[in-house]
Order: sequence, then structure tokens, then C-alpha cells
Amino acid sequence: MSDILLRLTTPILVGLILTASALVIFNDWRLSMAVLAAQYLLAAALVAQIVVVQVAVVKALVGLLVIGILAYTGREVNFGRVRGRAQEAAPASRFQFPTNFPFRLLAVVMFVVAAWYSASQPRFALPGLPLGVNIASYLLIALGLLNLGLTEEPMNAGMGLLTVLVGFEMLYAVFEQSLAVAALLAAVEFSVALAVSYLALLSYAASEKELTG
Amino acid sequence: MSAPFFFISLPLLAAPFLYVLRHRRRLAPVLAASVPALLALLALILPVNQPIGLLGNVSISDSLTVLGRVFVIEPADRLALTLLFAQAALLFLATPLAEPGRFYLPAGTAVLGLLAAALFVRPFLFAALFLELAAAFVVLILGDESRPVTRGALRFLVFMTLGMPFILLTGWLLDASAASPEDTSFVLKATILLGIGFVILFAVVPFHSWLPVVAEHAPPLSAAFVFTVMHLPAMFLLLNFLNTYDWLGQNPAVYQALTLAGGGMAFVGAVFAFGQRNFGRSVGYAMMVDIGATLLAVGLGTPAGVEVALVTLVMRGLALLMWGVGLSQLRRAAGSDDFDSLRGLARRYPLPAAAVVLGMLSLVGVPVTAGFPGRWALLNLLTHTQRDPRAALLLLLGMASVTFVCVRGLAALFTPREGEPEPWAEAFSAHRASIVVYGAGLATLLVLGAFPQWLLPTIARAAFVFARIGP
Repeated sequence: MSDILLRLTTPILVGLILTASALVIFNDWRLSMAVLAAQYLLAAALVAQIVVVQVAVVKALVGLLVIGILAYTGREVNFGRVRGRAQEAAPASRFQFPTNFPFRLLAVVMFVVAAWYSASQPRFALPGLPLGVNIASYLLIALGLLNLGLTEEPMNAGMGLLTVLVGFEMLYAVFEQSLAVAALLAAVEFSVALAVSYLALLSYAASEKELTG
Repeated sequence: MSAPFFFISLPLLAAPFLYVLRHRRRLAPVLAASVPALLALLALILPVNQPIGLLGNVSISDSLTVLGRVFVIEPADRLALTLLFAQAALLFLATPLAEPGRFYLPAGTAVLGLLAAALFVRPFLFAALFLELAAAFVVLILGDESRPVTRGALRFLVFMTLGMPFILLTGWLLDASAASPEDTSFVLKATILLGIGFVILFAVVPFHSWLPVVAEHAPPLSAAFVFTVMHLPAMFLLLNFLNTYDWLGQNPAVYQALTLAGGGMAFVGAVFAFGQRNFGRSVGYAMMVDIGATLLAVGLGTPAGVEVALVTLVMRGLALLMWGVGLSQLRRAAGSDDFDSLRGLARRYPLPAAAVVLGMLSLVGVPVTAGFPGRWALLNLLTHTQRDPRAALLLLLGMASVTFVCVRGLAALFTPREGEPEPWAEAFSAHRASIVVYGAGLATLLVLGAFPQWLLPTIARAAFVFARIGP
């Protein structure tokens, strides 16, 4: 099992880059939620290299439950599209590139290069971690921070924050494997998801209020 | 039964009941305030590890173990718990005057349980997890459904979340240091990581941006709750670290860094406060000056400095309580905290207007207010102990800047709108209970400023538990 996971390190890393980048580049909640779910599964697969498989499975389940919370909120608020505007938009234009797409893409490339380079340097890499996990956690934290810097919309910023947490949990899983801390970190993820959902509801209500005058 | 279990579980269990009772506008605040009031009293008097005659010689343990993690109540925790619960009780009791939102009482009560857990957990590093959980609950309080601006709450959540990993990773570096004590680089890295974690937790520049936004957009009483109740455990966590770990508490560079951070906070607070024309935002910057003052006090690295820091924390609670209650009423009347919108309102609402201005002045420690004795003591210590007046000057600059804003706000409050004279006759037509509350609060702020010896020695004596702090 561990051999298979080891061989899958590179595809998992590529998958994590793609998912974390997509969270920065796209604003559509449904796409972002699907991508975040994939990111949780990929991160769990990578973590399975360094912790017992059961812990990795629990991390994946926690991630999927977090996505469940976000998706339920999204459904309640029409996935962030204010009703008046949503009715005007044609179905084909639902998945849109943000207007600053070239900037975001360039920023993502720069962050990926910087994170990969830093994680590969012995001075910056965290000792005791496999290189793949080091790179993955640096990448997720860097791209999560980039996402946080680019948006103040609660749901997208929340997904950026969760990306940072996934990256941190990945490296912390090696240092602290107690059940209590694992449970508390899971509770932190749930509470962040709930808080973000509440803010997304408030933000949506404000947008609708603004539109309807 | 264990004492930590009691202090953690009672608020957490009370929270759902308070949510159910949220429509009972008189009962809910009284019940909500009675929980922390009872816990504050118990924190002072509850004997642990000895038979209690009243309970049939049952002994209450001082520790609790959950999934291998230990929660212990120590003398320093008792002091922190008393301050935490007492301030929360007052903030809950003021709810009918401020109407801060449906989650204020239940989520605020749950936050108290989580903050108590943060104070009890050993090693201290894991407190960061409980602070983060509390921060997520606080978001429910900061979101104002009547004015749904989410920026402040989101920034608060983001910064609290980003601070957590730095503190948690310190534990790993300490383990590494214990494994190879000859390699001092681990201790250096641990100090740096811990420093970054605390810089984020204390909203030190450049992580301060949530302070003015929360103060401007959240319900004022909720903002007051965050500025007082959420900051208290973080400060006690810092004091516990300095008091417990010699590699940290006896490192002169740590105190220099604290002085630098405190001076920087006071300076940036002063610069940004100066041009403000909004009572919400300006209190955010006044908070920067106040946080800077506590960091400068701890940065002295002396027992006297710790005493001043604790006094500042206590007086902050009183000042922000009055500011929060007063501004809630003014904001309801004017729809905004801007000076232009509030013009002339001092004639119609003299007590809330006085509460806002006096609360802010006390927060920055202007003479004759409750905040002054602590600030005066700090200025004296900074000039005499450090023999370097720069930190004291920066603090004075912060105090002067916020005072100037208060004077400008006061002028706006007393300037009637053109063609619309505000009727003085309505001034005292408010509910008698609110007049009593405002009167008592304002009198406390002024009396404690004039007679600090009534309260300060008690707080100062309590600081003996941090006797080991200092290089």
C-alpha cells in the first residue's frame, strides 16, 4: 500500500497544484467546492504516506463533511449568484473566468515556483518530512494565502483559509499524532467552515438587499 | 469531579439554552450574565484537591484528562478566569441596552468555555487550538444581521487562524531541542515562531487591519466583547509562557521585541487615529494604542510591568463596556458612527454620548478616568526603568491623538444641525433603568480614576503569580 502511495506522489502533487490553483483562479462556488473536495482527497492520500491509513481516511472524511457544510450553505444562497443577476445570466456563462484572469494565473505560477523552490531547499524544508509532503504543504499554504489576499468574499476566502489549514495539517500530522489534537484540528476545520458559511449567508443577504433596494 | 470540567462545560452547556431563550429580552441577559458571574466567584473561592464540607467532604480535582491531554487549574488561571468571567458578565448584562444580535449571548457564552479550556490546557501550546475555536464562534457575534458587512469578522477569523500554526509548530521545535540540547538553533527558531504567532494574535502591525474594521462594522457591544474577552486569554498565555519557559522568559531580546511591538502599535494607532471622523474606527485605533501599552508594560520585564499590564486589561473592559453600550444607542438613532451623522445627538442622548466619549478617553488613559492610573504608572516605569523616553513618547503620542479625536467627536455631538435644534427636554425621557446603568458606569469610570487605590492594589497583588517574568 505504501509503495503504491509513494509511486503516486508526483501525480498527487500535480493534482494538488491544479486544485489549489483552480481555487485561486475561479470564483464559481460550485467549481471551487468540487475542487476543494478533490484537494482534501489528494491531501489525505499524500498524508497516508506518513501516518496510519485510518488517520488519513478520517482526514478525508472530515474534509468531505466540511464540503457538505459549504455546499449546503451554497445551495441556500443560490451558490452566491444574486437572484436578479442569475436570472439575467445565460446558463452557458455560469463558469466564467474572472476579469483579472491573466494576473491571477501569473500570480499562481509565481507562487507555485516560489513554494516548490523553498520546500526543496534544505534550509527551509522541515526536517523529518518526505520531500513530497514538504512541497505539497508549502504549495497549499502559499496558494491558500494568495487566495486570501485576492478576495474578501467570505466563501472564496473561506476556501482559501481551508486550503491553508490543509497544508498546515499535512506537515503537523508528522509532529503530533495524538488523538486529541487530531480531533481538535478537525473541530477547527468544522468551525471555520461554519463561520465562513454564516458570513457567506450575511454577505448574500446584503447583496440581495442592495439589488432590491 | 474536576474544576476544569466545571469551568469548561458549564458555559458550553448553557449556550444552547440561551439560544432557545433569546427572545426573552429580560430573562436571557440575566441568565447569561449569571453563568459567568457564578464562575468568576468560583474561580476566586473554589478549593481544589481538598474535601469540601458543604458537599459532604467531596474533593474537587484540579485536573482533567481528555484523550491524553491534561487540563489543569493553577493560581494564574484563577486570576485570568476571574477577570474573564467578570468582564463577560458585565458585557452580557448590558445586552438590553445595546441589542447586539441573536448570537451574542449563546455564542459569547460558548466562547467563554473554550477560552477557559485555552487557559487550562497543558502544554500551553495547545491553547492556540482553543483560541481558534473560540474565534470561529466569535464570528457569529461579529456578523451584524441588520448591517451585514462581513469584512471585519472575516479578517478576524483569517488572522486568528493564521496565528495558530506558528504557536503549534513551536511544540515540535521544543521537542527537537530537548532531543538535541547542544543545538541552540531550535530554541531560536521556536522563539521566532512563537513571536510571530503572538504578533498575529495581538493584532500587532501589520496584522492589525481587523481592529478598526471590526470596531466600525460589528455591533459595538460585540466589538467590545472581542477586544476585552478574546484578548485576555492571549495575554495570559503570553505571561504563562514567559513565566514558565526560561529560554523565553529570561531572554532579554524577547522583552526588546515586546517593547518594539508595543511602541510600534502606539505610534501606528496614533497616526491612523488622528484623521478619524468615526467613533467606531477611532476606537479600533485606540485599541491599538491600548494593546501597545500592555505590550510595553510586559516588555519592561519586571513585576511592576506585569501589574500595570493586568490593570490595563481590567480598565479596558470597563471603558469598552461603556463605549459599546453608548455607541449602540447612538448608532441606532443616527444609523452610522460618523461624526457628521451624529451631529447634535448629545442633546437628545447625553448619557450615551458621555459613555462613548468617556469610554474612549478611559481606554487611552486620559486623566480623571479609570484608565489613567495604569497609564500614568506605565509612563513612569518607562521613563525611569528604561531610561529611554522614546517608548513613553510614542505612548503619549497615541494618547494625545485619540484624545484629539474624542474632542472633535464631542464637538460634533454638541453641534446642532442647521434648522433642527435638538430638544434637551427629551434627554432624560429614557427608561429609568438605562439612566441608572449609564449613571453607575460613568460614575465607576470617574471614581476609579480619582480613587484608584480602591481597586488597583488588589489587581497588582494578584500579579505575584508571574513573579518569574524578567530577564
